[in-house]
Amino acid sequence: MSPTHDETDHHPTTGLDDAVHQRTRLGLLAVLHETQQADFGYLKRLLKLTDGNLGRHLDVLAQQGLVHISKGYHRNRPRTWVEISEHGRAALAAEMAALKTLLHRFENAGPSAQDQGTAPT
Amino acid sequence: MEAVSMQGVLAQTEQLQRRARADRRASSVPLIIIGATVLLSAPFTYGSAPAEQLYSLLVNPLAFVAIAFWYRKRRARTGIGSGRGGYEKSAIFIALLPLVNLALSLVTPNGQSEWGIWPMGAVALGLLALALLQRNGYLAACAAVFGVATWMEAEYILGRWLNELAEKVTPTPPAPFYDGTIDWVPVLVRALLGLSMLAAGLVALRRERAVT
Repeated sequence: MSPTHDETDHHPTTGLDDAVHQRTRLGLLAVLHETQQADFGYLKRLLKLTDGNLGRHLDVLAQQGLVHISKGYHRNRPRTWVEISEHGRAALAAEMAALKTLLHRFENAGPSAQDQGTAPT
Repeated sequence: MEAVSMQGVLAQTEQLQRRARADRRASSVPLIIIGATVLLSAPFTYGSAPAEQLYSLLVNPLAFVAIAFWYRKRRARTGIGSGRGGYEKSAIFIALLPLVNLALSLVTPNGQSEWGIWPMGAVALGLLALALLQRNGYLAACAAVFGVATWMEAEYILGRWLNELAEKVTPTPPAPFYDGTIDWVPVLVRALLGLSMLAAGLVALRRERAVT
C-alpha cells in the first residue's frame, strides 16, 4: 500500500533544519542547551575545533537566530560568549525528535526502506 | 545515510550534553550546598521553634544564593554557563514562603492552616522546579525524595520510627534523654536528611568527574 499525501507531507525529514542538522552545529546546540551560555574557548576545547571552524559554525547559528554572540572582557582579556536562544532550544528539540522518529522508522522498516533516510553530514 | 550513522550522531550529541552537564557540576553543587544547610540546621530542631524558623528564613534562601554565586564564579573561571534556571528566583520564593504561610494562617478561622508549606518543603520545591527546568532527572529524583522525607519529618513519621527503633535497641534509655519521647530524635532525623543529601551530592560529583 502506497503512503497517503498526509503521510508523505509529514515525513520526519521535513522536520530537519539544514542549519541545525549539521553534526558540529547540532553538537554546539546540545552543549548550549545544557549550559545556556558558554565561552568560545570552552566550546572549542569540548568539540575539538579550530578557531576558524568554530567561528563559521557559530556565524551560521547566529544568522538563523539560534544563538546570540556577545563579546566582553574578563581580567582585561577579551572573551566571546555564546548563548542559546529560545528559538535555538525549540530548533534543537525539533531536530532531535525528527532524528529519533527517522531512526525509529529505520528500525521498524526492512533493509530496502533504509535507503530513503538522511543523517547529519 | 545509514541508520547506524544516525544513531552515532544521536549518541554523540547526547554524550556531549552529558559532558557539558558534568562539566558544570549540575547535580553535585546544589545537592552538597543544600545538604550542608540541612545538616547545619539539625541543632536548631532541638529546643525553641523560633530559632529553627529564623534559621530557615535566613539560611535556606541563602543556600540558593550561594549556589548562584558558585556558578557565577565558575562561569568566569571556566567559561561554562550555569544552565537554565534562576537560583536567585528560587531564593526569593523560599524567602517569601513564610509570608504566604502567615497569610494562610490569618485567613483560616483558628489560625491553623492545613495548606501551609513547611520550610524544608519549600527548599525541596525550589530544587524540584530547577531540576525540571534543566531536565535533570537525578536532581529531580533527589528533590522529590527529599520533599517526601521532609514531609515525613514534619508529620513526625520518621521521628516515630526512630523512636520505636531506639526503644527496641535500648529499652531503658538514660534519664536525660527520656521523657516519654526521646528529645534528640528530631535532631537525628534532620541530621540524617542532611547527610543523605550530602551523600547524594558526593555520588553525583563522583559521577560527574568520571564523565569523559
